[in-house]
Amino acid sequence: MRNTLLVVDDMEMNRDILELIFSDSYKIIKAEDGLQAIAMLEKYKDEICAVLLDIFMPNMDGFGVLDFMHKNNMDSSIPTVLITGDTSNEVKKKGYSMGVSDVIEKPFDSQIVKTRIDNIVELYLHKNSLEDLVDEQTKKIMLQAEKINQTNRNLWDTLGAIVEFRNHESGMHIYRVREFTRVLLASVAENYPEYGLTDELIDAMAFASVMHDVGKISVSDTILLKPGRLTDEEFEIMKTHTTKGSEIIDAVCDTDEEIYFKYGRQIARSHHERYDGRGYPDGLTGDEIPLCAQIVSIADVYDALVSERVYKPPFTPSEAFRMITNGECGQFNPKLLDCFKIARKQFEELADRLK
Amino acid sequence: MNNEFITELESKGVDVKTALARFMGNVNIYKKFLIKFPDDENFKKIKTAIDAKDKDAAFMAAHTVKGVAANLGLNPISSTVEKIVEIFRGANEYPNDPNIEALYDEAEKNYIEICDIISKYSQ
Repeated sequence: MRNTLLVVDDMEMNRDILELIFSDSYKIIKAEDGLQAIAMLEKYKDEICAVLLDIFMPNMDGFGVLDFMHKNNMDSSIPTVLITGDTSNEVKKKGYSMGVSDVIEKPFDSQIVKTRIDNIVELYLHKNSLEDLVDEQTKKIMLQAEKINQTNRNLWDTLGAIVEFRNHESGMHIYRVREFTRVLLASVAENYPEYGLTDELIDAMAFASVMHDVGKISVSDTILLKPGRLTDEEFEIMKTHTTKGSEIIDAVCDTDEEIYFKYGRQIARSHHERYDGRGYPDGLTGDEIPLCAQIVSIADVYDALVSERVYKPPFTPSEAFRMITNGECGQFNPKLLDCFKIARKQFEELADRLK
Repeated sequence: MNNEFITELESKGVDVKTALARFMGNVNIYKKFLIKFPDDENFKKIKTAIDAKDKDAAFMAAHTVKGVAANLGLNPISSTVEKIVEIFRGANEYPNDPNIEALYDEAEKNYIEICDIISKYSQ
């Protein structure tokens, strides 16, 4: 709580009169010129509730003090009242233009001075406490926004894990795809800055990757859990997990306001598209395929290759690397393949660590 | 501060009541500064500066005396000195005003009378 009044005047009598007026209500500190005043402002800036300032003083005058307070942002929280024996309008105008709250002429009536200063101090205390309140509320809102963000991510992770558990897997696939996605995104950001991938976008895309197979919830157990290869007819049904996935996300949220939803929808629908147009469900080509879906599709294929499946043993990381880069798993964006090649070592380390 | 002191000051036009209110009714501190008043060099500096035709020094000295005298309720001094202050305010060169000497003489007369009373009650 600010409760100190700084009295600045070169005349002892003036300092003593102001002390007599205010010593009942405030702690009083006194300065005899502008230089002493700024030393005290620096030391007690969080305790001073107002400055009572004379103009004509040796060493540094009152305007010098006002200038110092303005340059150090003290004038927004500490009001200044000029107490001057100079009754010319020039001084008053200059004072007001430099932000003083009031100008009081000497000789003054002590009761009136007391009331005026008390009012100004009260006004500023109120203003400062309102500003503190706004700061506090803003911090709370930011914290809540962060919590909501975290809750969103947890919900998505849960959704992704549910789908995967139904597939009788452990939940590790979506986790690994997310980490492969993150590694590839970091490589793209570094090597192709023209994609404009910020840390924030990378984070959003990596988290949205957990939605890539959410549509599998709509595929029947007999197909989803079938040990061995699917028939053509069964495979056609399996392929609908892409369109179903984007429908599920649309049903939850039909705007792109939240980037997670936007990326999640793009990834769910387009992570089986191929650069040459031979993927599904829409047969998109080249950069018609959203970037996040292109990236997740490399991460997804890589993880499928290095993992064991009912119908195949795991490939080694170097076999997986070769099969992706030589086109055995379909055509990918050449720029992204460059990035994949550059990040090869990180992919292999990650595959080893998350086995 | 006894009543005779106050009565004598008031008889010379000193506004003791207003001045005391300014000192929040604190008689001791008011008296302390009254007693210091005759020792202040600034009144003599007005004359020195006028004799030397030093407009800035005259303004500063008169300005200071005006402020102190007004605070103490010594209106016969402050009101006359204020006129001197206004003559010198913002002057680019020494003002060619025939009233300066007369105003100073009037202020000095009041100054001496009031300082005599103060000195009498200082002991």
